[in-house]
Amino acid sequence: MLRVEKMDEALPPDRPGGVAAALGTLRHALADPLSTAGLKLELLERRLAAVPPDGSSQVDRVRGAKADLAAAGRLIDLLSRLASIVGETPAETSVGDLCRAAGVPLEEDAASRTRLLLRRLASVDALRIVASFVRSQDPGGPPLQVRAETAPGQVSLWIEALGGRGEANPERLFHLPRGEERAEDLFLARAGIESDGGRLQVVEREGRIVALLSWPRPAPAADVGAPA
Amino acid sequence: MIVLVVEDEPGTREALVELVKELGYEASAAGSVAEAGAALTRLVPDVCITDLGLPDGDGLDVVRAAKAAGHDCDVLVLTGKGSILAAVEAMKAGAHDFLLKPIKTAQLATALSQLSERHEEARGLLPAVLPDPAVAGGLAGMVGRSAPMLEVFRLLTRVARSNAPVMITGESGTGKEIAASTVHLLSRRAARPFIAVNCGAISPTLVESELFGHEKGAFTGADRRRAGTFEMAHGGTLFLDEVTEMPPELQVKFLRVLETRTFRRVGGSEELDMDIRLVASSNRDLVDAVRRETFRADLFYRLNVFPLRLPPLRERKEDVPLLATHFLSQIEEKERRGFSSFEGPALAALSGHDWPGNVRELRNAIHRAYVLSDPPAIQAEAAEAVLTDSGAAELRPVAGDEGTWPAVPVRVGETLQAVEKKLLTATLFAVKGDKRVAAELLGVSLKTIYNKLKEYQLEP
Repeated sequence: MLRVEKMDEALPPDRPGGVAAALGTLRHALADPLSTAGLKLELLERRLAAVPPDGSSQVDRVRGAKADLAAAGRLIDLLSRLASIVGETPAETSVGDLCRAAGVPLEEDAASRTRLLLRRLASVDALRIVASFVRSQDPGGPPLQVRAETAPGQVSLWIEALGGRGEANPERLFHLPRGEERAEDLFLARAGIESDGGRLQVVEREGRIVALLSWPRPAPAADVGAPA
Repeated sequence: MIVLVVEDEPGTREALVELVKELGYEASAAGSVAEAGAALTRLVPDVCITDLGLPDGDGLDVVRAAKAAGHDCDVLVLTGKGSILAAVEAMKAGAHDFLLKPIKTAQLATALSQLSERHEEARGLLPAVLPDPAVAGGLAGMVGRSAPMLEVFRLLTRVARSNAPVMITGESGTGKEIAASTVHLLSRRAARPFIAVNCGAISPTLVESELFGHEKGAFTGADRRRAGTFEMAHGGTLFLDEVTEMPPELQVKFLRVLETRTFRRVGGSEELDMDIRLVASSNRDLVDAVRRETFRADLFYRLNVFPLRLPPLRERKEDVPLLATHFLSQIEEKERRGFSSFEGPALAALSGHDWPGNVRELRNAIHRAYVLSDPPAIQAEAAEAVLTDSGAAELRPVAGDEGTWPAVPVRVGETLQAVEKKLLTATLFAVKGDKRVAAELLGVSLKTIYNKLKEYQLEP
């Protein structure tokens, strides 16, 4: 998400350079040949359709190629969304803060207040997507069970649906952004968490889906003037 | 229709030109801003399709050159950046619309077909000259001739013919929905549907299905395929009232739909093209909603291409007599009791009031005064009584200290329904019509407030 101070303020400039800009450029570079191919296939389809019956047998193949191109076009949109994640500056936050912003119920305790350095907006989006995915495994069931834990060097967040029937091998959805609409969101959620050095695991445990998100804790600042 | 294609990538340019010709239009090509500038001196294109990134400048330069050339040329911008900001900037610079690369040929064909219809109409008929709002006392369904409203009419007329999203802000009762329908009526989409959706009045669990529709079996109770408002508004205008109340999960999906111009029904896999003009509104502070992270900033930028603020009635009191007469005519048209005017002191009393509930409150007051008066004129006593009855004197909006809020008188034996209506009316009045605040104070959901307003016919 972008930040805005005044409704009529000038739009913020694109961040110059960096991976975010490179991803944007890559999207742009891919969009041109995909456009050209799509336009040429459209022309080909129109011309083949005009010469039945010889042409009509080829039209289906052209339509198949157009559908593949459309899928590619949809996937390259992920580059823009990845660019937004990468372009966000990490800021100090906590798991409790993220859960509040994402509407995920988490009781406040020491673990939930542990300070982390994260891309806050990307993390909130990721958390919302993961919680929604876990929820979808048990629609109408009891509220999600959410808890935070600290371990040496990291903070973890468990999100669990208490009922329902989990998908087989759910983690594959987070690794391959195609096949179904939500897979793209899940892929981006994983990218959002991993961009801060975090980790997302989704496992099936006793027939239930459990999501485990973990982030590294920043090393404590060295004491100024401490003896060597 | 003559189309100028400005695209630096030769393969895309040639294919675009060929497709434009295949679609039945004349086409010329340019590969840079300079070539486009030269073409604009010898051609009078109806439409210019331009890439945003060109070797010798920005595609926005082509937009500006087309406008500067003085031709009635609509500009369609192609952007490969996948950036909201680029698209928004192009539309702010005067582009009619933008298309995201990779180009979807169906979207391009639809956009050209709509522009072609518009240009054919313009050629066949004299240019439509709207009556001067200052003389006519309004524009389409909107009434007023005060300076703030003439400015609103000027902006509305300007934006209506583009495809740019409009964000209408203003206090409750200022007429945001009428302004949205005026944008629609003055646009080339006027013959197509105008669909209004109140984002605060739909159950959060159903809002996605309401907007995108659903397939049979998508969820429990989905026993058949149902079109959502995106499909119903196809070719026309979709008005999203109280857009800040949209659930956060839906904001993400909605943003994606706006960027890709495609959507899927809930539970469906088929991608459907979206061809709608968006008008959104809110009576809440949008910037504050963004700051509090209840509304996404990227969605805000995408919808706020053309912001339009409707002034509260207290800032245009000189319109009160005009509005009062307008409402009297409307009521008389339905009820036919023989009213034709106001007594002078009645109008003076109405004009002296601050109208915290704005035009809606004025219209309701006129209706009550109509009931209390004898024809042929609304009497001063009726107007005074209405202003007193409305509780205006007691129920001024106050700061959020519950202890200072006025009481609502309740008689023993009064029906619960009457008490509820009275309490709801008074609470809304006290909080300047902010339904969310009223819902919080009364301990009910926002949706309940909308349901009650509908049940008691307190809003149109």
